[in-house]
Amino acid sequence: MAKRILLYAVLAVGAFVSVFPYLLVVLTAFKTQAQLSGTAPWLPGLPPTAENLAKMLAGDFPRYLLNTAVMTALLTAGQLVFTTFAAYAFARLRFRGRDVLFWLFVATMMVPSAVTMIPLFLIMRELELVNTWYGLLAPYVLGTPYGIFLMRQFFKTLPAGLEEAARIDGAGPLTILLRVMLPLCRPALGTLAIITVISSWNSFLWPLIITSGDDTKVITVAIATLKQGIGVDYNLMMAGSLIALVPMVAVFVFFQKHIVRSVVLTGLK
Amino acid sequence: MTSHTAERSLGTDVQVAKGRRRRGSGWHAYLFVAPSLFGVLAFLLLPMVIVLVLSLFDWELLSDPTFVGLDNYRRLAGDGQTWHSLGVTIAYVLLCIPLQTVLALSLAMLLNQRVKGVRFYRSLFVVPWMATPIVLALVWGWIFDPRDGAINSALALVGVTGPDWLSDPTWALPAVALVSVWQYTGYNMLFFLAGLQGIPKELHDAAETDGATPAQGFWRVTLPLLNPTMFFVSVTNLIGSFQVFDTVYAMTDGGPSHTTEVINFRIFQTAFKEFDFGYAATLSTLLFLIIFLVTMAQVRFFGKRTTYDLS
Amino acid sequence: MLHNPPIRWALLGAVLLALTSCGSGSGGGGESEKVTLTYRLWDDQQKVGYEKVMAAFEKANPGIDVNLELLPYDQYWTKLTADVVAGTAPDVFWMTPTQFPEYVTKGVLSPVQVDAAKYHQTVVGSFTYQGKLYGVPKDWGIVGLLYNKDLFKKAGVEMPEKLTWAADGSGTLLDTARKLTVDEAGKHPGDAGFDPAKVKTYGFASWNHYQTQWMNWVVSNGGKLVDQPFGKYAFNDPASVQALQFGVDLVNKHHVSPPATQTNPPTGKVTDMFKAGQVAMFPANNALLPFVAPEATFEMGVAPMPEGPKGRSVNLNGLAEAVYAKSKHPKEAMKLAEYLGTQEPQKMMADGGYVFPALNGLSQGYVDYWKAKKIDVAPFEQEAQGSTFPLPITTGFTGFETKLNQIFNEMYLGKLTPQAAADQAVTEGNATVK
Repeated sequence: MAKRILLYAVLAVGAFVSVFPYLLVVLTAFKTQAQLSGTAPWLPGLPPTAENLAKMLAGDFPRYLLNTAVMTALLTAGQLVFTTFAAYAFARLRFRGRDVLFWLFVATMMVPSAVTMIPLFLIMRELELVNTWYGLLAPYVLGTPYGIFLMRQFFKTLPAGLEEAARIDGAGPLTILLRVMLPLCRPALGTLAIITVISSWNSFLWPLIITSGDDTKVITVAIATLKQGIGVDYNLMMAGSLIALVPMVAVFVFFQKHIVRSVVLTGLK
Repeated sequence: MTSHTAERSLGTDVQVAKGRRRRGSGWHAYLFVAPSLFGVLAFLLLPMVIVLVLSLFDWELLSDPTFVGLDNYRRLAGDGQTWHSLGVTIAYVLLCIPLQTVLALSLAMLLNQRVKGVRFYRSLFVVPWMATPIVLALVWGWIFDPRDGAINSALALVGVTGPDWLSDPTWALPAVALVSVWQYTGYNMLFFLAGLQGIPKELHDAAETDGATPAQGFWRVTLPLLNPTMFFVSVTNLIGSFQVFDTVYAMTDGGPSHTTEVINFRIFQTAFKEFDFGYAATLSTLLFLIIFLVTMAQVRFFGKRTTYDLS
Repeated sequence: MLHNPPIRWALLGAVLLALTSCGSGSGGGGESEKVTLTYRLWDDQQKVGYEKVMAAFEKANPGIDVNLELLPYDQYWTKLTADVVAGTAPDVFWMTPTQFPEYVTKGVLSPVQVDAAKYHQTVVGSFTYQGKLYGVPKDWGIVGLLYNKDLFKKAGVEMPEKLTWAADGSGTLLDTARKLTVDEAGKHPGDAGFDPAKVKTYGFASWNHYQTQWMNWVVSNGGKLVDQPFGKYAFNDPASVQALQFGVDLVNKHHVSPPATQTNPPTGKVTDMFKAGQVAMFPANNALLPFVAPEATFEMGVAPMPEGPKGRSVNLNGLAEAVYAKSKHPKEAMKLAEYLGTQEPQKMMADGGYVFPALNGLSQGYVDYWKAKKIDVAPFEQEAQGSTFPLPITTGFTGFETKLNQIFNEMYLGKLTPQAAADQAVTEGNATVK
């Protein structure tokens, strides 16, 4: 019994520590500038005001939200499809240069993106994709090494027995992947989907570099624009960040059931 | 790896089938990998190779590059500031990664039990990962404020004068590391949760019946079976933390007195503030080599200890 | 759901369809006669004004369309650099004096043909290279003294006719600041029992901010930042070091300023402290007004910066409209840039209360705008007619800036003497000058 109480106590502390900084975001978003100077950061401004949220939503911000949503949806769809195929091949199919190629993929994660973005930008210029949706999506929509790594490790943990059985029955790799492996992948795919959604939603450097117009602007860049060289409008910035945060929390809360392995499967005894 | 053992135990009948299979998988495999291969080759590998090559050039960005051979590397050998940055980075990694991993695993184990409101807790723990660097810097700047930040005010309640945190040369790096731990623990917890759920309960029950204590159960059953997850988390976390940049750039700008000047910050400064891209490419090459070696070491370490249960 | 093959194929199809149907984002119609120029800036408040300006320009020039691009300030330069590397830089864009040397010496900017005499000379000087002007002067911001009138009233102190300072601590500035600095027991610096660790209100903000702080002390004391434009740093001579010492003394010796642990960049909170009424006098650039004046919880006054032994010289920082040397439409770009330097747009921006226009004689609109907001900005204007100096015009400043701030952070913390700090800074700075 004491163990239970301890367990819940630890969880409660963890939850508090995780969420407390966001309290500042929420409180600041609902303060006026005067209240911001007048009250401590973690005390609410009374009365709270929705004017910051209104200001953000009345301007171009909803358009940037839409841009970001479209980008996120496309990147996630692409990641789920192409990464799964590639990861399965790396995990289970045998072909010349497989492991070297895989580690080459992983190696591309080891050079800072701040420097690789210059050559990448030049490549995009050659392909005439600067300031376009294609340019924004291209480096990541065909699958990322991180996603491939994740899925490959997952595929490796699945028992080989099922594939063997299917192979003996005459099924080709495509059928095996789609009919046999995929049903078992829900937790991994769910995790991959959530991770891709959230990292695409929050991506900043590449969208900043590859596009400059309003029709491809994403919310991270829009929020950063509120930080002028000389001063910051904290209230607006927190309001914008809050608006950007809510969909992500919602996505996670509603879709987390897909990342839990259902007890039903693994009838592989 | 798994397939080998399976095939060996199935006997010679399989040899013929195996031959057919091997030829079969060939073109399928290339087809499966093709789209990602194209993307990675064109947009990730090619820029990376260009950067490695540029380490042999002097390039002020706004003008054209000139070939200088190994000059940049000679400069690197005597560049105290860069070696200092590497030291700072390693310190950061040591502060961050062990703590983060232990916390994430612990939380995952706690949540893996029958807990009321597990979905609620899981969401809360992951929420830190969803913040953008700008917001983080602002909010944690307030929390760390020496005068009326949350931490020092709380410490004052128990009569302790807190340090100056982000302005203090001893505490700035731990402060930045703390923010990272806060940000990524929940995220890593997700992977450990998935890994834990893959361990059949029967194994734990069997260990218990055999008289193992919970601690023995953990070290002998749980941890080894978590190896694939650990491997992934360890490799990706190390690759990421060696390249930490956003939090440092937003919170401390490399200060105070260069105590948070991690290598990636130095690379960014060199490339874009000092317009010295060739040298930045050299630093990037160095960082790449280090990360690569660290990764290969982990492949060795985890590779030896990974077993897959096939029964 | 996802393991259902038809749905997977549908998803795949959707991705491919989306990729092929998404058109390109930029408007680059090659068929039409119209020329589209891109104009880049970072201030979202000024953007509102510029949209009107561009509308007027497009009306007067029917063959030209202008696209405004708003980017975050912190990343503006990284993005501009990437664009210059790729040849995709905007046609006309904002340029600052500290970034100017780097870009002009690499041939990124085109010289402009405007009558330089019509603009504020310090701004003109900031953008002149080898005798030619490489940007149309746009505006200027100047450092003045903002002060909290309510705190003055509360302490029963009058703002002196003229604030003066001297390295030996004499002068009305220190005197006034002392009267306005109170600790929690109500004591002032110099009183018995004054506790510098428990100060409630500070009289003055002295901190490591080169633009509004020590550079002004240095030049007002007869020191020099650089020996000449595109030259070398020179602020470690005795006059400069004396001035630096004064700035540091305000913090560590006289205790009229908050300790450096609270004010050092990048985490420093001085602006917030001023807004919260914890600091009485705050040197600031007038461009900061939109961020501190609206919704201020106290009455704000403006005064000229204090005069040093050699008079008063304050920093005047102007921006320019730069024209990309490799623009695809050089003639039209030049037309736009030159238009932006004429009376109509400059007056529009000034009347909107955004900036002091670089074009001489048009600042009344700006003054009136702020007068309506109960802030008298005339002292800023007064100062602009006196001695002003630009930020150091030399290559490598952008790379040097971080190092400079780190060194001077130590100085304000009292860990380095001003002489040592200045020497170190000048040496490291000169190593970056190309």
